[in-house]
Amino acid sequence: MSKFRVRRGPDVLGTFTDLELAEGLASGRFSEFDVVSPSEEGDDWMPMQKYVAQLEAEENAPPPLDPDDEPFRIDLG
Amino acid sequence: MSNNLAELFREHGKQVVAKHLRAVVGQPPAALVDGTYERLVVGPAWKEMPLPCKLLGRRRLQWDEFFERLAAVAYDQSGPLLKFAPDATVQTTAAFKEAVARIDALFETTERTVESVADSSEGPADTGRPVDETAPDGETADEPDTPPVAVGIDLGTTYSAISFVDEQGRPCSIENTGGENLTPSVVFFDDDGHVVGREARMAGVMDPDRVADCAKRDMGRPHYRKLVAGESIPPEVVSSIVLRTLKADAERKLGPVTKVVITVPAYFDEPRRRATMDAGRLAGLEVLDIVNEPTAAAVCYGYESGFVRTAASGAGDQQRRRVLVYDLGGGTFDVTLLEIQGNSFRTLATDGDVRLGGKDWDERLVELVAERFAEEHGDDPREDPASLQELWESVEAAKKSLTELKKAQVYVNHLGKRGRVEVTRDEFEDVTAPLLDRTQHTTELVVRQAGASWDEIDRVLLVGGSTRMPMVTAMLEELTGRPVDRSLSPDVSVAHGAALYAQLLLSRSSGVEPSFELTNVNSHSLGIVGLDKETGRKVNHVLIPKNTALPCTVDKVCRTAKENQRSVKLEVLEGESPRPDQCTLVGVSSVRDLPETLPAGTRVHVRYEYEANGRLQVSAKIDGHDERVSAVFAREGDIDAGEMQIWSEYVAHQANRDRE
Repeated sequence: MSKFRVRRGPDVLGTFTDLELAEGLASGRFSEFDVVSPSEEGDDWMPMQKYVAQLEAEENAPPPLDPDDEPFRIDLG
Repeated sequence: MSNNLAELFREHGKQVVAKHLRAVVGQPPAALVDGTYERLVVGPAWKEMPLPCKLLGRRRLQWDEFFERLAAVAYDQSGPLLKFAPDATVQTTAAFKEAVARIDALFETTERTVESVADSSEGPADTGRPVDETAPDGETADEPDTPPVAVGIDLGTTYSAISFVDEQGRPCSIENTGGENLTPSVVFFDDDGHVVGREARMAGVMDPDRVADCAKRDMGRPHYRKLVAGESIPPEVVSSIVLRTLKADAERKLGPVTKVVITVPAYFDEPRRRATMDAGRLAGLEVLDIVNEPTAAAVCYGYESGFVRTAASGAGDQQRRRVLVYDLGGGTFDVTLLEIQGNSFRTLATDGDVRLGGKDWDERLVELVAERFAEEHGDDPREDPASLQELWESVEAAKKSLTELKKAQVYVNHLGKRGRVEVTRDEFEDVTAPLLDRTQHTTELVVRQAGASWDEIDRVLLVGGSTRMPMVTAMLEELTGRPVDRSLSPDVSVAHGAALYAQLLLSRSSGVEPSFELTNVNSHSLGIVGLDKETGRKVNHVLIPKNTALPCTVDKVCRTAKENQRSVKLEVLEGESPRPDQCTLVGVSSVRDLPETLPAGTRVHVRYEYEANGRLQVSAKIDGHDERVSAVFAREGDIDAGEMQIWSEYVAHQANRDRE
């Protein structure tokens, strides 16, 4: 289960699972303007909305093209 | 642990789902499996879910499985067209129970699961009203908070306008805070927020690096043509800020406004149309449709001439009329030949230039004045951004004066030197004659393409502020042999026509018979890149020729080139040239997940659907196979979903700051 750190201004509110984070947002404990880090240490903080956008982009990314993709031949007649 | 997330999903989700499920009502049952359902229902519904649900992710919430269940139970698929099943409400509620239970299981709270099921069993009476009202007899109804009016927006290069249809069925302009019908499409990016309109233009004279104007000319490109306040901003974002301001103007008069029709030049290609719809979404608007500007003007003309039957005005006229719409705006030029018969508006041919408009006339005048000033004073105002910005403002005012006067003065202020340059109308028309010639050639081309003669054209309508120039009237009257029709307001007729069309769409969704019909054509040929068998070179193979009536569907069979090929890639182009490098690359359609062990030469059917508004959808299937294959259409220059979310929040956040 993923772990997140949540920060509001300079104050780190704690480390939470993704379920706790989602529940906290739903209950109002966290704000969408809080900042998250999707790791337990490090400096990779980002706004909540940006993390969600990143997650959506990963989910929506099309599968990589097969390197053997061929442009097909068509009859031009 | 409490489960506010499950409650949020249930409460908010029911409204979102009910709203979007009806998007495929009236489509063939195949829409549930050919990608249409995903595109019109599943994807858009997810976008409207609240942030906590999105944080958990579509996969964790099993969103797609949830909608697969809804597809199976909410619709009656027995007829030629989808409608809601008689027990859709009950079935949808049951599907929600299952979904909420899955969320509860994630939180491993058995007691909460029981409570959630009991709450859900109260049924949709409190929150499922839209599904209640749509299910039993197929009628559609407004959502509880749906405003009763949709607006039409003419999103212009230099000026924008917004209109609505009043209770008597009349299109009416909505004024901005300055009491004007036209709002300059200019955004000034201040540290505290945005300024839009006349104030932005004035502020831009002092600080041109913070102003963005004419963003419409960059639509379809990844970035606006210059950095603004040090930032690289997509042109859709600039346009969305203008749209938000117009939305606010409308809401001051009408209350909440979310539904809109936005106009685009008839000659806009697919990427530019898509970018315009994205701009609307970024502004927090539901874009009911986009419509070509000449068509909107023709609708306005039809209404004002009494052809269009509206609820208020009674039966229309059945005489067939051919109307040529010459639309010269601030930044774009279109000419379209339409046929109006009764309530039917059919485009016969269209052409234009997305980079030709009043600003180009201004530019010629800027060059002329700057050179004269430099000759007299030794300094060129074009070399200083602030002086140049002020010169553009002065030149535009002089150009307007020359509509009525034979000469005008242009005041120049550059590095402390002030001067006055006199320009005559004859000089202005001389330096801009090549621009006018381009419009004349295009006008002649459109009439030829439609297979029509000048005798068959009943009216020549002028649209766009730049048509006020006497040279335009003179050219057209000489070309057509008839007086031009100036009955329409060149400034607001497009917005009025868009508002009439928006009202039609709203009425249609409520089951009211439409008061008129629009048939458009594609303004650019659609093709794919193929290989010429003889030369081996890449060529543009046209699938849908220009000026084909929309909507239009074409199937193209391709064959796999080798054994066990799992994917096929096709580059989609818009343009008339046989050379792909001279066309616009709309995107790349990749057909994937082909079954294994297919022999070389297996037929793959790729379907291209051009929608009525000029948007393109791609799908695919294989001969003799029931499995779905995915056809991904990766568009060039798109704002991806992640960026869309970021920019959407940015625009909304800035709008809130603007209101404070």
